[in-house]
Amino acid sequence: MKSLLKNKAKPIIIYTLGIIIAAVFLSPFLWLISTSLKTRSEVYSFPLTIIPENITFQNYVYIFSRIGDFGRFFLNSVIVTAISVTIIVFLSSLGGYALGRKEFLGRGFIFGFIMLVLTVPYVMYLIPVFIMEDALGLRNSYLGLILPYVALNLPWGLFLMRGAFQGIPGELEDCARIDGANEFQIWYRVLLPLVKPGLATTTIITFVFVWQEFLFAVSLQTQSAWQTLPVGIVFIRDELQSLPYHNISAMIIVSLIPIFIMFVVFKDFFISGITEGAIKG
Amino acid sequence: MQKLKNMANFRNNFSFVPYAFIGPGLLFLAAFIGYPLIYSFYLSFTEYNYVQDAFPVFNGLQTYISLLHNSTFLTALTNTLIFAAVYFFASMFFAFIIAVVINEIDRFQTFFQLSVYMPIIVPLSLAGVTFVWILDPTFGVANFLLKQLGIAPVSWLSNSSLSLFTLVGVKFWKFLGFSVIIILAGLQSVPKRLYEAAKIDGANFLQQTIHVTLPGIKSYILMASLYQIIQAMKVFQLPFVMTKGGPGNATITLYLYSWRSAFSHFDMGNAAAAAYITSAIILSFTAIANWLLGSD
Repeated sequence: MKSLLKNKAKPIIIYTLGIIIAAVFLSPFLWLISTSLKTRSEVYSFPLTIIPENITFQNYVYIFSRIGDFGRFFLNSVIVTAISVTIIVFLSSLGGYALGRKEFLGRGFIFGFIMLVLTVPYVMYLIPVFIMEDALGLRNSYLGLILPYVALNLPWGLFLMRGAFQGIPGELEDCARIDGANEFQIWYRVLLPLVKPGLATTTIITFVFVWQEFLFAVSLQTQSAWQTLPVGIVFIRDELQSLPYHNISAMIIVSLIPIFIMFVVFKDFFISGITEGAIKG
Repeated sequence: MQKLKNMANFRNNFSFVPYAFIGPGLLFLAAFIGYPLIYSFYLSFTEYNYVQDAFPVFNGLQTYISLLHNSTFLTALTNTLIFAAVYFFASMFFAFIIAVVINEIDRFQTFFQLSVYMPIIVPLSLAGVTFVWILDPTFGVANFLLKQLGIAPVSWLSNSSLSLFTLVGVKFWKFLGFSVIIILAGLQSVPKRLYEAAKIDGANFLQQTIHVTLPGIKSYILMASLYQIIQAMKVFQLPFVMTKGGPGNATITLYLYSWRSAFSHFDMGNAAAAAYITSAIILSFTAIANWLLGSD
């Protein structure tokens, strides 16, 4: 009798806890969506309404048509992220092959360096990079963000692609070599198709990091024409002194759409990328 | 003998091929990571005002010594350590609980997983902006809901003894998903038969957790710990966006202190020294975690 009761009570407790947890984590999104669909007068009036009384999409139109910088920030984020991620994935798939499948002098050092880089705070690199880019005139340009973004995320990419290449059996490579394929052909024609899951993991992980980057963007890009969404929206908030949150909420929601789509599509690859280190120990 | 053979093998097989593959990536790492690491180490032993001085002037340990007598820096250090301790232990504890709950759920598990992972996609700075709005003293929904429950409004960000913990809460919301992903993967890797054996021995849920679950997911807990230690110590965007380090210096952190030294006061030597101290603390914490939880 007791265990019967226990068996019935357990799912109720578990699902109640689950719903509380989901509510805590999702409610900020719901509040942003709700705010973004209200008129300004409804946002700033008492009593507050949880669900908008008059749903309106005017804020979404307004942020693109009247806040000139917002569209530019969005474009900047897309360009910087797309180019950075492409370069990172390309370089990681090259370097990961060497780290995962080749013996060479300095491999241990390079790998140790990569692991160290993953724990050091970015601000350590920021100051010299700022001085360097200032001297070279790279600040306030796409290249000025893309170059450090590639370097900062390459350790993750190399780590993930190294693991992916290590997982391939050696015979394939040997067969191709006997057939007379050169090193580049082996990499491109034989191995690369086999590490597609690793490429997907590297893409989603670095996309998530680059799309959200703030520290370098806020320090290197002082002109609003070159800023990305995570910095640009903060500056718009600071400029729009009074009561701007109906528009700010719409901007945040729009800025989340690309990363939301990527995340949902590549969710399993993202999870395997995050858990990679734990499995390898 | 084997070693000699290996060396001979190595010499015979030496080729530039691996370097051709790793080379392009190494160039990026050398220019934007290796060189900056060394240069900022050098800067930390200099006096260098970026606007006024033509070049850095070596002054030995002077920057480090004056940092240890600088009350703002010491406040930043204390705040960072308090933030890190509360954030780290709370996030590990709740990540474990949440992962266990999600692991027990059979139907709609993906929905519950995704709801906890969803904040991962929000840039931290925009999470800060979102919570400034939620916690707004007049029009914020948080105090509105408290009022419905008959609780007096809370000054989340303007009360100097509370604001640091408010930031902990926001960081917690944003980053908990990472730990849950890792620990959930661990829970799913523990063989079911171990639980069945424990049940036959009459172990209750708590005993199973202590004797089966926790030892089984040790490497996952280590991984999550290393990740969260780094997050716990890197506190920059939230005070930057939400409180500007205030009220007073209540939410100034090492990271924010270092950044302001560099980009508000252009005191590059001081900023580099503060950054190096921050890194030293992070590395020693990760070493302790490795030592406590690392390979048996």
